[in-house]
Parts: sequence; C-alpha cells; structure tokens
Amino acid sequence: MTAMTKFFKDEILKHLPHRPPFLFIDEVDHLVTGQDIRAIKNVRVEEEYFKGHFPSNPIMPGVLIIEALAQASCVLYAVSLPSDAIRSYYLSSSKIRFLKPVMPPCRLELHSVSTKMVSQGGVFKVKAVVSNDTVAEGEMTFACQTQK
Amino acid sequence: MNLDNPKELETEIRKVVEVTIEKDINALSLDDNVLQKMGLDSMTALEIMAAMEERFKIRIQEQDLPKITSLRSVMEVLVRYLKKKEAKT
Repeated sequence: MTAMTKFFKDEILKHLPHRPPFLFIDEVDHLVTGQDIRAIKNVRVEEEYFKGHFPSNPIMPGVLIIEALAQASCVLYAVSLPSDAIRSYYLSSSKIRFLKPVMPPCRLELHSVSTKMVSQGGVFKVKAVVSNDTVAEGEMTFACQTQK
Repeated sequence: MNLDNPKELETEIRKVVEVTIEKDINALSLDDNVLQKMGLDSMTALEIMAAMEERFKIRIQEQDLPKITSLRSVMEVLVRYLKKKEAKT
C-alpha cells in the first residue's frame, strides 16, 4: 500500500477516461493504493445541469452524485491496478441511499473504500460528504474493460 | 464455523448470497448456477466473492472468481480458504 499526495485534474485525467462535461472530480486529496480515496468535486451554481434541476432551486441530481462516487472509485482502481491499456468502466450495480440534498455552491467529498478489486472490476463502499454531513452512502460495483 | 458440518456452511452461504443479490434463493439447489438462474450479470460473482470475504474474514484470489457459480462450488472454494486459515491459527 502506498499513500499518495494530493493531486489535481492533469493527474486525474491520466487515470480516468472521463472528460468534461462528464468529469466530476476536481482533485484527489487522499489516496492509499488498494485501500481508499477521498476526491473532491467543487459543485458550482454555474454548472449546466442546474439550469434544469431545478430552475430557481438548484439540487445536484442523485445520478450525478453516483457518477462522481464511481469516478472517484475508478481513480482508486486505476492507481491501485495500473495498466498501460486504455480502460472503460461500466457501472454494474449501485445501492445508494441519499440522505440530504446537495446544493451549490459546496465542496462535495467523495469517499470510496475498496472492498475487492480484480482485473475485471471492483466493489466499493462509498460515501459523499458536504461540510461533515453524509449526503449519500452505499455500495457500488463496476466492470473494467481494456480497449484494444 | 464448523467445517465438518456442511449444512451449517451452506446455510451461512445462502444467507450471504441472499443479502448480496437481494433475492430469495430458497428454490435454488446446490448445483444450480446462481447467476443464470437468478438472471444476474457476471459482476455479481465479484460481489458475492467480496461478501464472502467480509463474512468469513478471508482473502479469495482472483483465480477463484470463475468458480463462483453454484452454491456448491462457492462452498468448495470457501472450505479450501477456511481450512488454510484454520491451519495458520
């Protein structure tokens, strides 16, 4: 297990195939390979989806919180099981309970702890936190495929 | 866990599988393919594997993932790891 220092978008993009506007991690401020990660998404009022979800009452869609948690888990996976191949990730299941709404502006912490990681994918316990309050938590599994 | 009591182990495995896949598996025989019979994808095997590790405090190698098919084969994998664990303690 190796602890890594804080890293930002340039480094994140080396580990994730996701790109804006579908990238939901701004920084990683804690990562222990094979173990856990804490990533950050700065949720801003200007984000496109708040125009419709909802007008005059911006709330981050739950599916995007799941996506952000999955992306944090993908970074943990990619750093823990490094590969030169280009990878794609497919969410296989997520059991997430939403506890509080996420409203901009806020700093959304994305915590993920590896339960099991193998070459085909991983199982993770995840939690999203805003100002020390857990806003969503649960488990997710994704499959990983390498592109030829 | 008494490894000489397969019924006890089977009951425990059934409990873990049921909680993991959130489906009633009472009708499944020991040799039924859990994923096929319950209409689940292959990644569910990884979830079952992870749940077994958590319940039995063991670490199962990736090479055993293809063996997570029927309750009997899960039981065989577990017995192997639990015996190793027992021998160490």
